[in-house]
Amino acid sequence: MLELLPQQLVNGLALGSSYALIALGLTLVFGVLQIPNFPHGELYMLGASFTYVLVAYGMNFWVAVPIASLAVVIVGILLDQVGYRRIDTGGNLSLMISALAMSTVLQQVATLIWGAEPHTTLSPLPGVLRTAYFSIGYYQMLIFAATIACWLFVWVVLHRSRLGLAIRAMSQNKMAAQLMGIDLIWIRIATFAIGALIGGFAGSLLGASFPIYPTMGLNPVLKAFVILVIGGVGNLWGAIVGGFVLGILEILVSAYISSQLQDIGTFAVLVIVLIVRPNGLFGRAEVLR
Amino acid sequence: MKMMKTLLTAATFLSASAVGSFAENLTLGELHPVTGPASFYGLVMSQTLKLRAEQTNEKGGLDVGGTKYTLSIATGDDQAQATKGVAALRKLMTDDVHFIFGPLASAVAPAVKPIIDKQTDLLQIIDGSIADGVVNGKNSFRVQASADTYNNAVLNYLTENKVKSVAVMTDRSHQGFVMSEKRMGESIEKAGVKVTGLEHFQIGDTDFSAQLTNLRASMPDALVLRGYPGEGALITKQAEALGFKGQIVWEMGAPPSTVMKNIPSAQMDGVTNCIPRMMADYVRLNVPNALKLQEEFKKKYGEDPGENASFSNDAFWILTTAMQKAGSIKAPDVAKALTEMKVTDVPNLIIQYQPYENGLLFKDGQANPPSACQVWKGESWQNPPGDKIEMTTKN
Amino acid sequence: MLSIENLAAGYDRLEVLHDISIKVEEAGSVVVLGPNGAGKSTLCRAISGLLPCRHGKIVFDGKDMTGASPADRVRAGIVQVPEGRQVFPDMTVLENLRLGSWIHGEPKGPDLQKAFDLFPRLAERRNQNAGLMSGGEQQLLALARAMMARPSLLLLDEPTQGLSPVAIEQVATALISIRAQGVSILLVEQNLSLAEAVGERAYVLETGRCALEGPAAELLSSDAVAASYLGH
Repeated sequence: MLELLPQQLVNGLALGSSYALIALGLTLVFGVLQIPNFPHGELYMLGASFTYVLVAYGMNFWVAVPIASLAVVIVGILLDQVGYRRIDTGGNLSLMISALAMSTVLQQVATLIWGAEPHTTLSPLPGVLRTAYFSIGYYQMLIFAATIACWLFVWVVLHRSRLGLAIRAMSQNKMAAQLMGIDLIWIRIATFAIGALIGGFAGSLLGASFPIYPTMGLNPVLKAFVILVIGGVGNLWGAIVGGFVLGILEILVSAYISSQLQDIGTFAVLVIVLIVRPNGLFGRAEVLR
Repeated sequence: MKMMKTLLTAATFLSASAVGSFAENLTLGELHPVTGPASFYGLVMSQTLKLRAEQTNEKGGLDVGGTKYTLSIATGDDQAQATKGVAALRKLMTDDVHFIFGPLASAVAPAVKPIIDKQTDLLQIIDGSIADGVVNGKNSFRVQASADTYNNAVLNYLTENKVKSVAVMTDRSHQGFVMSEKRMGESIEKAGVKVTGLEHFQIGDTDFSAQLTNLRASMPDALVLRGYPGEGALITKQAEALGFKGQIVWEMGAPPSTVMKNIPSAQMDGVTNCIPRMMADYVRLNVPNALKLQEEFKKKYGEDPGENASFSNDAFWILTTAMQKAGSIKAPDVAKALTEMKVTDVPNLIIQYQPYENGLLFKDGQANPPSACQVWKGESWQNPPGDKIEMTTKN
Repeated sequence: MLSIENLAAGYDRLEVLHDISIKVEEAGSVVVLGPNGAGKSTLCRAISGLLPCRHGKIVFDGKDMTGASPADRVRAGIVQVPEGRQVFPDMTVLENLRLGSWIHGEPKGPDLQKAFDLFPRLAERRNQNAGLMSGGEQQLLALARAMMARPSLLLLDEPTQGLSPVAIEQVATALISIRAQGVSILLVEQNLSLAEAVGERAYVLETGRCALEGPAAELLSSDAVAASYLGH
């Protein structure tokens, strides 16, 4: 079985990059705005669905991806304005309930529009790289690269732009940020927009390897919350590493213990991390620094 | 008091004549997921039942022992979830419904079973779930195949094609497949085929690389996938990417429209599906009743009926025929008629049930639909050359 | 320059300030004294716009600011150094200062130079995370950060809270030099020595009302004030 290890690790990296890509936007919104944005999974689903529709109407996949992602940004901003902004001072429970409600609403709307049957965007980059030790699809390699690119993008925005300065200020101290003359509402919208952009982009890309259906975001978003616990809330690098850790771990559990225990493995790790390092492997808040 | 009675009689008379006949009403219940993720299976089943009920009413209703009944279908939407299914069944029972078609989902059937077992005035005909142990032959019957029929189809394929080794992947959220997994493995080994690996996945999973990497390394001649077509398509794609070169055998109801939404059709070429014959199969084999339903369904709903329409169609005719034979709409009488019913008694059947001893349709509540393997070619399943069906019903 | 007229403010159902009227002259300096719970911080929050006014008016430079957002007030020149310093702990000193000058864009060289002249220690620590500095240093940073916005009115909420006597001395020196630049000051304090060093006029708050008002020197030296309102 050990001779399969290289292949299994590659499998884990491929799975992990899809997890990391989804966790990235979630950790940003959760870290900065303290919103448990469950509908991030639905933004992911919308990114996939929009792309599917555009491609079905004959648009080139690579053109459809940015258009679909930007459309998701609009939905994301509306989601924040309708679902969260007005109850921002209402406490965590209200935010959580509203998040779950928004999640359900988006799922139902998607069901009404597109039905519940799964479908997949045809992969724009078929083909497999085969080596002596492992094989990996070119498209999986692309997703891996996209994950790293998204992380770099968010990092640069946060640490090399004025907008990022304000976002970090808001996440560290909302009141002080207001006293600097920062219009929080715009920073909030911008933060949500970036989170939605990455979520939509993730769905847009991953819809070409995974089936698209209204509740397709549920499982990934749960995994993403696990990654937040592993990597630390608001910690970008933690989201990336946590995604890979979870992906590799699930594959190894499934490959070497039993494929019936895949999910149990995930949650066992979650519990262990919570016990050993309650703030995640990398601590809270890289966003903040 | 007398006056009151007269008035009431008059009122009844008036309301009856208002609908244009003296027929009595008979409500038949159904448990199908008409919303939710499994609705693309469940909706056509519901539509088929409603179509049949309407047609019966247009001909003056169902004649049972000289009384004409106007049929209506009461839909219990179980959304393929156990809790919703139980709630929907209870609602139907409160509404005084005594006949239930369904459920479709293997998650729902075992959940409603204890309730149905206890009701003597309730009769169930399962037209979907293949779960083990949900049929009692007293007040629950099944026109859909049992899990073993599914498995036997695969087993026949393996032996007929002299497959030497096989790996099996089962959806562990599919009750019917999970419960029969061990039995299936044993009977494959008994037939002299080596089982090189048993792996699992779950509906909604998107990554199967770990399992497939393991299975590929065990070098089986064939890979059997037991579950739903969404995952089936994904696994087929990922198996190819990981370099699996053997024969892929599906064991699942897999409408081509669903398959093609999830995998480029070229990648499906040569994949074999071994299952009980369903709607599209009978249409391809030109079974007259299948063609007729296809046409009528299309006329009413504007699209082709799905794979499970055949089961719901047959369940409808079997139940109504049993009522006529029993001359009663009391559930125990109808159940008795079902146990004595012969395959040739029922008109309009699509599925060519293999009769049991003495031509009986049910044995311990279970009917025996034939199974077969089809091969994907182009954009749909094709019957292998020379495939013929033995006609066992009136057509 | 700042005129507060009959102001009322509070949280949820609790009204904390009732009918407060305070005036700060151009280049003037005003101290507001009062025991804990008198509503001093609430006053600061109402002036900087963090809390809405329930009643009354806030006029600044002749413009009605009663309904303006915090950001609008900063742009008009009202800048607050909040209670407890509230520096951005996981950002460097320089990033804190950059945020201070948010309304003017990236900080200009002269602004930064002015801040570093005022507090040379900050120049040494410009790339250190603010959260790692001592309380006194953080207070100086909070002051420098506020100055980056080029305020015409500086609002200070208990800047000496939790500081050592040496650090208090540094804050006092800084405030005096800020005053000398012509910036008006509204200082909310419990610490009498800082109040004496900085204040021209003084108001004493008691349970949300203005109890006394007068020249700082006079008011602060009266035993009655010390005894009854400040717990000394």
